[in-house]
Amino acid sequence: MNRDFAIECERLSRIYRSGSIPGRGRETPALTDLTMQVPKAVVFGLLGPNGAGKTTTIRILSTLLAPTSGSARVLGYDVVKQAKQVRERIGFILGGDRGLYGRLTGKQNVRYFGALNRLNPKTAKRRGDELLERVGLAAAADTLVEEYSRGMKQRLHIARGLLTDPEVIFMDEPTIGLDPMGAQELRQYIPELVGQGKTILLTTHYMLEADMLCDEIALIDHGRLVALGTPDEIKRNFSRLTIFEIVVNQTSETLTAELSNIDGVQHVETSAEGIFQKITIAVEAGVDARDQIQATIGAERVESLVVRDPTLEEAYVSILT
Amino acid sequence: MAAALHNIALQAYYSYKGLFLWLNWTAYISNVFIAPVVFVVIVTLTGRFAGQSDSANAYIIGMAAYAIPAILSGGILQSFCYERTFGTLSLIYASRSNRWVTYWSKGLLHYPNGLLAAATSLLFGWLLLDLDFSRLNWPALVVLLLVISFSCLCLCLFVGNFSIALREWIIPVGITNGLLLITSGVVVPVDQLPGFLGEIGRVVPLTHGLSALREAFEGASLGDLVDDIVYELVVGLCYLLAGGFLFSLLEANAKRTGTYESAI
Repeated sequence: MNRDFAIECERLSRIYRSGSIPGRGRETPALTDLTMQVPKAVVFGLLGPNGAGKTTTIRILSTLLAPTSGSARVLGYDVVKQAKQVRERIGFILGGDRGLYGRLTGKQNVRYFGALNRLNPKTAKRRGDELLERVGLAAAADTLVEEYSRGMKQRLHIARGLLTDPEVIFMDEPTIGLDPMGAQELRQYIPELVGQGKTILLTTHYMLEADMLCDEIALIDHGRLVALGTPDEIKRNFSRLTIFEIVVNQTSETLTAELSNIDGVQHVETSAEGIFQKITIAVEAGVDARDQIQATIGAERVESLVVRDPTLEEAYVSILT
Repeated sequence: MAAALHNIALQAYYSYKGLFLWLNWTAYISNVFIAPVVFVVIVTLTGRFAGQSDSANAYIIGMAAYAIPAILSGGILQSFCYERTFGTLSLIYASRSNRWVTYWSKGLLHYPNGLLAAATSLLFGWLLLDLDFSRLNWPALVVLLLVISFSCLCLCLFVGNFSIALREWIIPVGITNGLLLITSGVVVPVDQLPGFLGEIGRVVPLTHGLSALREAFEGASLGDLVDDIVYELVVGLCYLLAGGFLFSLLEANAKRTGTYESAI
């Protein structure tokens, strides 16, 4: 156990079994040998396609699901053997419409979860009111949740998840359903929570959000860890891509096909850039295609050429395909 | 201590308000007041038509007592079932809550509904069907309604676990109420039931309480009825303990299989 880590997973695996007839059941490995460590007071992104094992990981870490093998600790406490201690220190924020009581008001939902978590009623009331104010629901606090929009429900999830002032917060797609302003407000709030010493494990499908917020990222696919590092490390070390962004003043119908035929070029995309055209070319890392690209386009047509690391989204696609 | 009690009251109130979908005027009045009275009238008139006019009191009292589990089962099983349907069960499982408190607080505010349904049925039994109150021992009536409501509440909490597992409340309600109607002496006396049904009748709530209730209407005192009252209470407590254990078992099974909670 290392006290510097908020979360530690050691060869964590989970297999779902379906069917009750012996020999006819189906086994689905949702997580296989996941080993990772999350330092305290950081935002740690858990990224991957649907069904990759992100939610399974969160369910295990929040004591809702037992691992099939391996171990996991939250703030040094084993999630299986010391589930009670883990629950006293975690909160989770879900995405979506479920997990709230539609027939209660926003304020009543928060109070109820305060009572469930054995908060002192005065503390629960004060903190609940503060959080509803913080997430912009003060005016709708006495409205039934079944009348809330999806974004309002998402804000209520956030208030509920933070009610117990948890040290570790699991956020499962927290900006899903939020309008751009709401999503931006949450993104601004997350560093504030980290500043208070909280550790956040975030899953999201918005790569820009992950790139902006996460100190470290684990990329998982089919239940296995495929990349782990800072966003920059992921982009540089794992993506195996270099991106050429070229602004040209003239293009031809066959240019995209010609560029695609160059050795090492994986993907070519064109878009309008004012009166010019922008060509984005993904090239395998280590392949020196610069001269061939310029020659194919024609030096006289090139207005600018920039070679850059891939974005997190480009890296994500490159790693997972 | 005061804070803990306050939290229990909040859990009871909010789980009642949040999960009892009959909590609107139309559904509440229909289910708590009108339906029990209709059942009392139907069964009693059927009994009279069948030539058992002297059994009218027994039918009215039986159906009035049966109104207690009928309303409790509907309300309490909804509360358990919708916890899973609404995706809030996982929030309970991941919370610091005392599971026993969370479990039985789900029934707390349903308790008065059982009393109301039974009292309304008896009142209308008197108004419409001439239920004879002349020899009734009133303190025994009050105690017995409280005890029967308690034991039936405990049974409904126990069955509530199945509505979580099945994600369905109507079928468990039907089975529970049907079983009580057949085996607890509401219509057919327990000693006239076929052997195994009679045995079931002895271990379900309502049987002993109802028997005592009928005797109370014949003037029996609380002292005369103490055995049945204690038996009814013990049966209720057994279901309460078994239900609480089952609730914990469900949580353990949910962790093992990953299937019961679905919010996350």
